[in-house]
Amino acid sequence: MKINYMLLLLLVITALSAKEIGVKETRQLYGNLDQPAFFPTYSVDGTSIHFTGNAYTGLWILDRSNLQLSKITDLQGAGFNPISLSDGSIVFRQDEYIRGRKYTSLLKSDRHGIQRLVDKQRFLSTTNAFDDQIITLVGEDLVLLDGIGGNRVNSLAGISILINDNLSLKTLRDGVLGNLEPLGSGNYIWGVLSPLKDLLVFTKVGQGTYVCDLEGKLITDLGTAHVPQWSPDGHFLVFMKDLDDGHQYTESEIWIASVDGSQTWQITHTPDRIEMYPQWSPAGDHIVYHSHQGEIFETAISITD
Amino acid sequence: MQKIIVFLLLTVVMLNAQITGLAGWNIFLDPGHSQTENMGVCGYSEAEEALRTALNLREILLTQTDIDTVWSSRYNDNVQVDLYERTQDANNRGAAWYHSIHSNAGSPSHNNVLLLWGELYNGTPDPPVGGEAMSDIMIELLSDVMRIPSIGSRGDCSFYSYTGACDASWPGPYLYVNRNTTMPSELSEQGYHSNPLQNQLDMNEEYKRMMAYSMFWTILDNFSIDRPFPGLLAGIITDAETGIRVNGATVQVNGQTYTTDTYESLFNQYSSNPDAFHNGFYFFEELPDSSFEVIITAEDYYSDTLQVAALSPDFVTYLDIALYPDTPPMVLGSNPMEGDTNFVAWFRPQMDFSRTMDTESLEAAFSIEPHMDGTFSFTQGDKRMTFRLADTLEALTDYTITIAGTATDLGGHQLDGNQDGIGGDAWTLNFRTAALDLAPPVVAETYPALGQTGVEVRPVITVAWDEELDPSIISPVLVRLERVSDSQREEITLDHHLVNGQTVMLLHPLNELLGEEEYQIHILPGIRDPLGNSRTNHEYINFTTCNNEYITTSIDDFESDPLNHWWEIQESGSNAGIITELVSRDISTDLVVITEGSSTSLQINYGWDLDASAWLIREHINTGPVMDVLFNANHLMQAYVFGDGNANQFRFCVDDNIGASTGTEVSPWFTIDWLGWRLVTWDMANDGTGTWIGDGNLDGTLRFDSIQLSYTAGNPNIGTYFIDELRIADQVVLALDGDRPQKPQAFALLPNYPNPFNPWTNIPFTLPETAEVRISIYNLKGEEIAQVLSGSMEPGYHVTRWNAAQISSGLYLVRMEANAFSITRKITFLK
Repeated sequence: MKINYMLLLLLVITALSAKEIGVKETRQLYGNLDQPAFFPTYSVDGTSIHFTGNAYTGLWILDRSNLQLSKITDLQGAGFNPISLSDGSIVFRQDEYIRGRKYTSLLKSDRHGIQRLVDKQRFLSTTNAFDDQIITLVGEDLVLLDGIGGNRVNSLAGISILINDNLSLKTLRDGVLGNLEPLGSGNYIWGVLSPLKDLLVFTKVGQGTYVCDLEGKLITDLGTAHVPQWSPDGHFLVFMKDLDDGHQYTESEIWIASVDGSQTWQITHTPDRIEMYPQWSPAGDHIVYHSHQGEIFETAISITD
Repeated sequence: MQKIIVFLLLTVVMLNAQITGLAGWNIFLDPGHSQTENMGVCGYSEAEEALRTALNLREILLTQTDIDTVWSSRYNDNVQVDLYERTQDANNRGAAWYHSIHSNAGSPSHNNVLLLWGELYNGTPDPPVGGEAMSDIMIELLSDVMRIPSIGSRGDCSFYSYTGACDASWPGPYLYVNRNTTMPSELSEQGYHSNPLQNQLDMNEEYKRMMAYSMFWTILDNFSIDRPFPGLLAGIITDAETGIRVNGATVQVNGQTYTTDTYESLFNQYSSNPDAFHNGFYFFEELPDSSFEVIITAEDYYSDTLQVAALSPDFVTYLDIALYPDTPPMVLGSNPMEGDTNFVAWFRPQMDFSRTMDTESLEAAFSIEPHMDGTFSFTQGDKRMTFRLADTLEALTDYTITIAGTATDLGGHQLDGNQDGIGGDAWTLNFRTAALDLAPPVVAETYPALGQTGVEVRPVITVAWDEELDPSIISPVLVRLERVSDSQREEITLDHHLVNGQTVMLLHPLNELLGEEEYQIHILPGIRDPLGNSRTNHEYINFTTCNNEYITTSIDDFESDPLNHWWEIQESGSNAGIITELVSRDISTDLVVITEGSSTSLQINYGWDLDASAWLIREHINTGPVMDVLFNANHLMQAYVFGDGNANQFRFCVDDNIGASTGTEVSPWFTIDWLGWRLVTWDMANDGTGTWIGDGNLDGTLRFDSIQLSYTAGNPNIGTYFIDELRIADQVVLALDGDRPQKPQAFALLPNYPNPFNPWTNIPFTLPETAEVRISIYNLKGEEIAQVLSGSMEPGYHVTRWNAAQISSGLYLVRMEANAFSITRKITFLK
C-alpha cells in the first residue's frame, strides 16, 4: 500500500500545532473612484503596498504608515505580475502594441529611476523572484537576471516555478528547466512555491486549486480557490472564493485554509462587497485585497495556537 | 517547358495561398459560459453555441491565414471555466487580443446583435484601446451574416447604465472580460437563444461556421487585409404556404449536396416531438467564382431549380427558397355553396383556396353567368377571393361561377378544379338567388340579452343583425347606451363587422358601468339594409350589471408579438380532422376588446374536414411570460372570444402538477354560438374538467397550455375566432355607492395587475380583521429591495401600488405579512 508520507507529515504537523485564525479589524487603505486600485501586493519589507489601475495600467506605491501615495509609472501592463525586491525596487512589465502586435518589456524602478531589463519581446512569461534574482521565459528561453544589479546571470541555485505560453507548469531546479504536470496536460494558470520551497499550490483551468509536492504528487484539493497565496510561515493559504454569472462577478469573499485543507476560515463576510486578490503581508498579520469597485482594504488577523 | 513548370508552380502556390498579414499576431477566443449553461428556449444552450462558433473561427484563422496562434478558453463542453480563469489564461499567455463570444436572452420575440467593448464609467475606452474599433466592424458583419438587426457597438458601461452600475461608485468596465484583460477586448452577442427560430438555427453546425466567418472578416478588415473570395452560398428553405422551415430538403450546387437538418439527424437531441423543430438552413463553402444552378428537392414538395448568376466577392451569398407542396391548388369552400337555392342577391360570392394564389391569373380565370360586372378583393394571404358585385344579382335566378384551370398559385401550378390531383381543370359553382328582400333589418341577438342580469361591469355589448346593414348609417346616434335610473348616457366606442353576411355592432363603454345597476340599449329608427329597407321602430334592450369585478393576472394579452410565443397551429401533433390549408393563426388589429385597452387579438382560422370522425385544433403556447404565470385551481380562467355564430367548440387546456409529474387537463367545451365578443369563464374550482389526456383532476400548480377548438357535425366547417385578454381572474365584490366592500373572510394577497408590468403594478390584498400589514419586494436572492407598505390597516379589500422604475427587469417576489399571516407571490417586471 502506498502511503503519502507528505500528507501524513502535514497531518501530524497540523495535529501537533493546530492553530486558530482570528479576524481583528478591516480598514480601507485607499478609495478614489477616479483612480481605482486593483491587485495590491506588499513590498518585501511590508512597509508599503503596490497596486495598479484599470486593465493593469500604471503602478502606485501606498505607504502603510501614513497612506501617502506615489506613482511609479503609468505604463500599460505595469500592474500585471510586478515583483518587489529587497532593496525597495520593483520590477514590472510594459505592454506595447505595434501594428496590433503585442510586445512586452521588463523594467525596474528604483531610486535612480527606471531601467529597462528586457526589451520588447513577443512573449514574456509570468515572472518570479528568488532571493532578488528574476526568472522569466522569453518564448521558451530562460532568462535569469540579478534583480538588484539588473544584469543577466548564467545560473540560479535552488528552485522556482514558471508558467509558459502554453500554460504548462515549468520547474527550474538548479538552472535546469523541467515540466510538472500534477493533473496531466492542460492549462495551469497559477503556480506558487511555498516559503520553504517544498510544496506548490497551483490552479488548473476548469479543475480547481491543489497543493502538491515538487514531484507533482497531489496533497490537498482546495476546490474553487482562486489566487492562492502562501502565508509567510507556509502553514496556510489565503484565496478568494468567487461566483460569476458569465459576465460579472456576483460574489467573492476571502478565505484562509490550512495547507492540508482540514481547517478553513472565512475572513470577509460582506455580501454587499466583492473582495478579490488577497495577498499576505510579510509579517503574516495582515491580508490586503481589492474590492470590485477598486478600493484597497486590509484585514488584520491573528494566528494563535 | 519552363513556362509550364512556372505555371504549375504558380498554380500550386495559388491553391495553397494563405492570407498574409496576421503573422506575429494572436488572439484568445473566449466562448462564454460552460457546459450547457444558459439553456436556449428549444434546448440548445448558449455555451454550446458559443464554443462551436469559437472553434470554427479558430479553425478558419489557423488554416486560412498566417496568424501566429489562436487560443480558446475551452475546447469542449465538459470543462467548467470561471471568469477569473478565462482572463488569467489570456493574460498569462500574453495574448494580443481577446474576443468573448456570447448570445443574448430575453423576450422570445427579440433577436438582435450586440457588441460590447470595455468602457470606464466616465465614457473613456478601457485601455489598451482597440476593442471599440473591432466592435464597430464586427457589429455590421455579424448583423449582416445573421440577417437580424443590430443594437449597436456599445461601450459596456453605457450599455449597462440602466443596472445602476458604472456610475461614480463603479469604475468600469462593466464586463469582467473587458476589465481584467491586459489586451484589447470585446464581447459579441450573436442573437437571442431565447428566440425559438434563432435557437433552432443555432443548432445547425454550419450556421455557427457562418457566424464565425463574420468574425474572421472582421479581423481581416481591422488589419486592412483584403478578404479572400469566400465562395459561400447559404439560405433558408421554407414552405411557401405556411412559412414553416423545411426539414430534410436537399440542395445541390456544383456537385455538392446539403440536406437540411431533420428530427433524425439533429432535432431528436432536443425534443421527442418529430415536428417540434425546423431550421431549413443550408450552407455551401469553397464554391468557385462562377454562376450556378441550384436544385432543391424535398419530399411532398415540387422540386425547384434556381440560378445564381454570381457569388458575392467578399460575403455570404444568400438564396432563400420557398417550396410549394406537390399538390395542385384547389377550391376548398365557397359561399354560396354548390346547389345553394337561397343566396341573398346582394351578398358577395366568396371562394377559399388551398394556398396563396396568383391573383392576376385568378381574376382572368373568373367568370359568372348570367354576366355581372364586379371587382375582386383578396384576403387571408390571397387564399380567399371575394367578388364585389357592381350591382345586386337578379332575384330568383340561376347563376354559375366558373374558375378556369388556368388560374395558378404563386409557383405557377394550375388549379385542380375537379380535385382529382391533376391541375389544369376548371371549378364550377351553381347556385340560385333568393327572393328579393323587402324587409328592414331585424336584431337577431344581443349581448346582454333582454332582461339579462349579472352582466359584468366592463361588457362588450353586441347587437347582431339578421343581415348586412348599410354601413353609412351606423353611428352612436342610432345606437346608444343609457343608465335607466337617471337616463345618463354612457360614452361608447361603436364599431361594426360583417360576419357570415350579418352585421355585428360592438358597443364598448369607455367607463366601467356601475354595479347592480340597470342599463338600456337604445336602437333608434333609421337603421337600414343596403337595399334601403329602413327600420321605423325604437327598440330597447334592458340589462342589469352584477356587483362583482375581476382581479386579473394576464396569461397573454396578445399585445407583445404573440406569434412568437404561440406555435404555428400545424406544429401540434394533437390536431385532428383539419383542412391544413385553411387552418392558420394571425394577429388582428381590427377585432379587439377596446374596454380592456387591447390593440391586438389572436385570430384563429379553422377549416374542418367533413370526412373526418374526430376534430381538434390545439393552439399551443410554450414560451414567453406565460411560463411564469403559475396558478392553482382556486381561480377563474377567462378569455374574450369573438364568435362567428357557427356553434363550434372552444376550450382551455392547462398543464397541472408543474414541478412534479406534469399532466394535462382541459376545461369543458364552450359552444361558440354567438356573434361578437363574449367573456368565456372557466371556474376551475366548480366547473370541473373536460375529457382529454389527463386524469380529470387539476392537481398542484397549473400553467396554461393551449387553446383548443373542435367541430360539431352539421355546423358550418369554415370560420374564424378571435381571442383576446387570456387571463386568470378572481372575483371580488364591488364597493357600492361609497359603502365599504363586504368584509373578506380571510387574509389574502391577490395576483398583482398588470403582470407583467412596467413600471407600475397594483397589488391587491384582503384583511378579515385589523392588522399590522407589511408588503415588501424581494429579489430572487431573497434580498429586500423595496418596502411598499407598512402600518396598521382596517379589514377589507385594499390595493397598493408599486413603481419599479428604479430596478432592472426580471422576476421578483412580493411578500405580504399581516399579523401572523404571510404569503409570497412572484411578479414579473418587463421594461
